Amino acid sequence: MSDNLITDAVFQHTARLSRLEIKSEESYIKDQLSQAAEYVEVLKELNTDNVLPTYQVNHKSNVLREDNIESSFSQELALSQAEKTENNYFKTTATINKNK
Amino acid sequence: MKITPIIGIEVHVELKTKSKMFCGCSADHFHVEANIHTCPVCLGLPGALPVPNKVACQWCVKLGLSLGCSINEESFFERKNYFYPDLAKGYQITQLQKPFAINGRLNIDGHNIRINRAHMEEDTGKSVHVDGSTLLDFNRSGVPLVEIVSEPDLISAEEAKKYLNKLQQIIRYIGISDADIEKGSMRCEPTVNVCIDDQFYTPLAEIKNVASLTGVMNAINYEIKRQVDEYQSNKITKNSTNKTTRGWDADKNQTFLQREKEGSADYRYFPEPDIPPITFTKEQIEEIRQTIPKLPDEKIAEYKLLGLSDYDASQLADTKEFAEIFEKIISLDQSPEFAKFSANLLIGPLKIIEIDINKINPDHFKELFDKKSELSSTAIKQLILDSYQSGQDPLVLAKEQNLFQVSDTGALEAFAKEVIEANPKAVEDYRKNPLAIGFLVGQLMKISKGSANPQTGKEILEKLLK
Amino acid sequence: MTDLNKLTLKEAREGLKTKKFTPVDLVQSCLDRIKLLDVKLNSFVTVISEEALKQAKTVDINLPLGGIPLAVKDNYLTKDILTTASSKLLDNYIAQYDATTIKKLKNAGAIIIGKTNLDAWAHGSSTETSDYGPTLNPWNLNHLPGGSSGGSAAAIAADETIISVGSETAGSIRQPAAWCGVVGFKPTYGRVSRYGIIAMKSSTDSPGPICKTVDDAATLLEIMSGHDPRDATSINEDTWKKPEIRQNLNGLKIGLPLSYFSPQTQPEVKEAILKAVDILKKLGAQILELPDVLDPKYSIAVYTILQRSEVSSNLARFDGIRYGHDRSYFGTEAKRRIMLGTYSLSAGYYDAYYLKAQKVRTLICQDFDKQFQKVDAIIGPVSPTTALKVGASEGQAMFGELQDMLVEPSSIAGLPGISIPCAFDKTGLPIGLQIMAPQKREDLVYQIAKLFEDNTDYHLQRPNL
Repeated sequence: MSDNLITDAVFQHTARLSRLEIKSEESYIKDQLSQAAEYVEVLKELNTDNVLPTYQVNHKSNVLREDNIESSFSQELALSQAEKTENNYFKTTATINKNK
Repeated sequence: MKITPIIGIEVHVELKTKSKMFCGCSADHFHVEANIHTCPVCLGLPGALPVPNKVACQWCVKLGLSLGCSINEESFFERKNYFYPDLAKGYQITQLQKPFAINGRLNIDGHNIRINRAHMEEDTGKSVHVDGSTLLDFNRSGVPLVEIVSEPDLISAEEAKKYLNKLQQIIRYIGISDADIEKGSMRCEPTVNVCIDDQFYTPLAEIKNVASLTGVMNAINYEIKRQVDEYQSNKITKNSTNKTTRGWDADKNQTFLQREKEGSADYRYFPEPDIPPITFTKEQIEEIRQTIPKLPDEKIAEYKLLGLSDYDASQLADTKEFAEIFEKIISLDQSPEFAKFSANLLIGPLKIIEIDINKINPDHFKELFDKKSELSSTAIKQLILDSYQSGQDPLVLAKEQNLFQVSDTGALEAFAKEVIEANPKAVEDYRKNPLAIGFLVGQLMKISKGSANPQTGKEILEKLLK
Repeated sequence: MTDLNKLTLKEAREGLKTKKFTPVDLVQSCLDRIKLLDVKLNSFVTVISEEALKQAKTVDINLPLGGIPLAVKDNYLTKDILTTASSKLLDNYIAQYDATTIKKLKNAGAIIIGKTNLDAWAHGSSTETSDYGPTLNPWNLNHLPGGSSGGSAAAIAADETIISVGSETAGSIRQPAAWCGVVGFKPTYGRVSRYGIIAMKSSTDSPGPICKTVDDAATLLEIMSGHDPRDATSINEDTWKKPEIRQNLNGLKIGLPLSYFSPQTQPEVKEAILKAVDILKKLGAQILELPDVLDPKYSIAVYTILQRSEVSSNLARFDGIRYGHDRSYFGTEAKRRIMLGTYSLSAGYYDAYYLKAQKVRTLICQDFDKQFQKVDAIIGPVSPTTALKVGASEGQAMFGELQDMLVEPSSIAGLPGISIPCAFDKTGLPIGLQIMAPQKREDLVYQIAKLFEDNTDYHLQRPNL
């Protein structure tokens, strides 16, 4: 990643992927992203050729549950914090974006 | 113009575990009230954490082994990030770099269809679009799914259907899912393109929303034709960015382009930090392998060794339960004749009606077999049905209904002599053509009111007419 | 019975058991203090008076925390109580379940008196980026308390509560504890369950206590710790138990990384740490300078990439459909972090950013392993400076990461660490000393910290409020 400039196009694409609307007064975020991106260049100084990544710092493995049914939320509790519901369904009028 | 279809299929199978993939909610979501099987985990509430279902993971390995896959010694889950209202966390927990099972194959009529992977993931909630809104039910959110991805080795819609049938059969055999396409516990997404004249490849199209096996066939056939037509008009070939997603409209019998975002979907996969990796030792894999029953191909081969035809053998091996009852029956008598006899009854009269396997009594088959010289084949078929339905002993029923045929040669000889005397012309015909014995046998059956054993009767007639 | 709110946990338990006062007296005292101060301090997002007093009337004082007022950082889910993560997006979210840790604390008899302020979504090291206004430092109201658990640290320093809990992803317990002159104990990653704590960076988030003394913090850790089957990353051990107190530090080797004194370090901070080193020497420890510790600047980069990547994914569930408001309610800081995270994970950047960062993470862990061959524990400053002025974090894209550079390495490696007060600068602002140990060695951290505390009186100082 030698080119750290985050272009407008990349910036907008990133905002779309993040489902965020960046307001005009927040457009300085783009410069801050570039700035932050520069910081990470420092990692290039370290040789990681034969190094495995650490995804799990406490080296656990095989944490599994038995296939048993446990109690669920009541329907009421599940729906209790939703702004909009209808006939025990959650409801949204958000535009349906198919990017599956 | 030479047209070579290239088809790959992605199948999602809903496992019939008791609980969901990452939480203890019931996995039952078919015809239950909305949002009654949810919890912080499958509702994607703040702070909730996933813990994988052991049985689901084992069943994924079981399926992988049944498809001839290698099992990765260490595998892990990853997050596939995208936004959709029915995706509670805004990401789906799935597998990418290290799935449980890889590199298998399924043999379709001698053609090896390679299977790239079988991996574990979670299902989304259900959405219903009504009047510009979307209604959401999260009962299905988090239900375990196994995704099976084939290489694009299939060469026709028919072959695709066979592949899916076989896959479905194996899945049901090993008991991990109902794999019901109409109910949605088995979902098929073919990806189709075409090679024209051995050099030009049309762009890939992934087809979604196909709700039946016939639909899969029709969709593939439609798509092949559509792609050929389109190529002929615009000559556009496949590249890395022009893959499309199309929906299948079963009413109009056509595929249609679904609304696509500009640019390809970027799922930003990364390893799931909340779930440590999962390892399987060789011993554990072997243990799981031991739980796999003999699969259809193996059973078919065994039945053919008994002398059964390809067709009969496939019919018997169709479901595990059917095969098991057949094997239970033939355990009473190892002769190939009994095998054939029982097979005919199972595939014939009994398969036509929807039987309850548990009601079938193997002894009935043996009894009828032992007395088959005294019963007409029509009678036998009727008796097996009657005894299935009533539970009564078929020989008792045969006696009650007077179905026992006379094989007693004395009585038959008497009937035969009567027939020969009464039908001189037929006898003359027989002298000219031995096949004309049929008419005389028929008369013998008439005179004996159906109680004569036709085979024995025929032999007696022939003897007398020598 | 005034000033009950100024008691430590140990003193409060003593008083309750000997019936010198009741839980109601204790809770009331804290609530009065909050009423007096919090309009200025803004430690609390939500204060729970009625329910707390009700519980105080019937609580069993024989429970380990029976009757003790508890302030909870507002990123812990507390059932039936507003839980906001200090974000406007959740300003109406009534938590539908209790975090495992909260269940444990409640079962031990603790009484929740309020939810404390944090940098929104725990993104920050100042508590200035809370959507509900900054919390102020009780030692000087023109200064910040640190973050992201600034509300909890300030509430403890100001005696608005007896005990509190916070969480640390990289510094969020230790740094505000240092800036507020209180004790912040970050356990080994996986020691305390994360179930029910709003996820920030899943692979390092560590809930832990912020208290008035080392002993108080350790008592709380005993209760909070333990394997949780609902958290697949929680370590397979029973609850942690306080070890025996040491009489001296004879035989212990303590390392001091020279690279932790960067050019940005405030001279008084360096001085304070060196003085602390003398005290530890007097107590019998052998102090070894560690000249080759991996430069913290690498940790900044690793942390920045990994944290923002995980954050961008962890905040994807907030779409306003099942709870809270829609994504337009995210503040600028949250948006920035999500954007950088999405970018780091995007096609084409994964190998160069995310994967590289995870590999350097391995190097950081290996470096600690190497250092712990030579020493039993590592000490150093928590923060390069004392509490900065209000407004210091504005416009600074990397404010948090830079402030936390001395605690990021140990967080990335999942190590336990504590911050204890060890001095004051000439303006009266506290300076914190951090003590780190290998994974699961909270016993060492406790023993060293306790002995230091017993031989000093910084922890007895209180701000003039």
